[in-house]
Amino acid sequence: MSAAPASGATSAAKAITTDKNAEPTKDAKPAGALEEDDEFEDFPVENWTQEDTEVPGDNTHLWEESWDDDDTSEDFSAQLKEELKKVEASKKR
Amino acid sequence: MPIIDEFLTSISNFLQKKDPLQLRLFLRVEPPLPDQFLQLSQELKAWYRDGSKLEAYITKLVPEADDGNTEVGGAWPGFHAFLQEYLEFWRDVNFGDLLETHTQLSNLANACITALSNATHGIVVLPATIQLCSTLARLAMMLDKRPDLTRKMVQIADVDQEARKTLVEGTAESIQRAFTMCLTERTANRNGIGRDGKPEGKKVGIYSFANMVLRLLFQCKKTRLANQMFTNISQNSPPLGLYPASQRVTYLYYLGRYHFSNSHFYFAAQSLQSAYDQCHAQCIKQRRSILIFLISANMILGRFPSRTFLVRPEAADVLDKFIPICNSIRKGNIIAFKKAVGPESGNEEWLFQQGVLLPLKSRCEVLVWRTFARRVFLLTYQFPSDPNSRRAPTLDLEDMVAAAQYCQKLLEGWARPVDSMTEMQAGRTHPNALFMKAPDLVPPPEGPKILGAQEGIVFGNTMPDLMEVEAIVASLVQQDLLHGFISHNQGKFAILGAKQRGGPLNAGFPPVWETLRARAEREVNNGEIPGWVQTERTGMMGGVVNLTGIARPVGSGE
Repeated sequence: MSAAPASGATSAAKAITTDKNAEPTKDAKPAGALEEDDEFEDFPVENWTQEDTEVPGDNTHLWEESWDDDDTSEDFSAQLKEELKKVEASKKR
Repeated sequence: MPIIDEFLTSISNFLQKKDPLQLRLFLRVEPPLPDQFLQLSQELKAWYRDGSKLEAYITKLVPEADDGNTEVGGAWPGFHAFLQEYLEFWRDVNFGDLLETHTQLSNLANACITALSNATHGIVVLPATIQLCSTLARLAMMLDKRPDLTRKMVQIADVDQEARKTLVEGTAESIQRAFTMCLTERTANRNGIGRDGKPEGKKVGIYSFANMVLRLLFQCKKTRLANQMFTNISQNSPPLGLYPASQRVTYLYYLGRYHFSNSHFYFAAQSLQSAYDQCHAQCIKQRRSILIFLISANMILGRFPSRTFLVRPEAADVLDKFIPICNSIRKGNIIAFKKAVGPESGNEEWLFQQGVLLPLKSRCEVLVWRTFARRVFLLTYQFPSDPNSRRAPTLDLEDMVAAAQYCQKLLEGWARPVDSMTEMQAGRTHPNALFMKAPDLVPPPEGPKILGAQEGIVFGNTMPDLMEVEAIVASLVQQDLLHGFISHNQGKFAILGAKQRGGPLNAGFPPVWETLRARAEREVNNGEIPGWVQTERTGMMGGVVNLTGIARPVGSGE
């Protein structure tokens, strides 16, 4: 027991693991299969450095803050324009 | 030599040497485990059925600490009780019955937390407590997804005729005790930071426990119970920056989600952005989880994901769900917006499961009304021929009504009547058609499509009228999303400051993000997001609060 518990981690460990897995966790899927990936997973490592967080590419422009679209040639605008023309005509009447 | 003797001697040895990491290594419960644990279990079953016999044996082999000699550590009554509980766990456990295992593990964790509470020696079991609670939390989460196993519990609860806490909630409560213990520990330094710059004493465990509790509270949808935790953290915790990256990122993720669920989207976006930025580049799954809420919060604040995300693996299947909503807002296309958040998009179910559908639906609708007004203005406003004209640019509310009614009709399935002339020309239109007025929409022969409350422009099949449109525009003005005023008599929205702000579009329709950020920043008192400790706390519990500069004579005005 005083030896590092890592030694001889074979049969008994397996026995216990198998015991736990013997429960039908896999065959009987829970009702909410969709919920499966909405959990925040544990990280495989405890700590890391700033360098480990860096991803290639542009990191400064993640968000568009000015996105108003002035193009009125697309279909929706064309339809609205048509409709608004009628209102205009009725106003003049 | 029996393995139990070896085990207890080792434990005693670690206590004397004050070795928390070795203790953690020996006080495990979660497979896979070395076979010595199985042997230990068998010996306990064979020889120690009697609890009092076991207790006597533990006390003999693991002596209590000598209070006169602080150099050498040792056991204390709370630890003895925990150790007995631990050995009884191994004696009695049957991993085949997970519900029972959970109960046993709960008792064990509670005993461990009680051992942790010892002011002098408790700290030595901190890593073991974190390990045990973490196993307990995982088991509770797993059981929560297995109603077939917890059904038994529910039946018992029914018999009791009382609102019982769920297994997950109960587990959260147990672990919260350890969290509070770590958070409120009195430390030598008032700010809870040791000489080495790290959190002092048990405070090192604050965020390990907080994250477990938060995960459980989110699982059982009792996030409001986290309120007190965040308040206490704000008051008593050393800065989050002193803790390991995994704890920081996990905590900021839950804090962001908490603010999101309370409609504090600015706080949510700030917390989640920091979580995203600090997340390990290779932890794609976690980055994806963060991103779903980060994008949602930002969209509600008027910031859309840029093309940068297109090449990021964590955004691969996420971006597609949000882009149609963003595009509909850009164009002020209410019909496209209703479709993007409705079942037709194929994304509704996914967005709902993630918990972002309803906030997006209700909050982004405001934004799409803003751009809808902007679009109608763009299509109807005649720029004055005289550049010195002093007349304020206006948007006729009747135009808004006509446009809104047109959209409502399309949503109800109205269509243009089939033109028999065009039909006969095999689709070719007569040149004169260019100068002809498009025919009015007609309702579908089977009657207008029945719309749900949120599927219509204002409410179900209600045809929007001037009163409704004026109310919507007034609300946008009140929220600073439109800049100007309404002339009720003239039925117009007039834009203020068009000259000074570079034209009516810039003046009347300021960028959403600018407006919402300015509003949010006014609400942040000391520059800190609630629940997120960024600077040292000096007026800690038990410390003296320095009122210099804060206390003013009564009636001094400020």
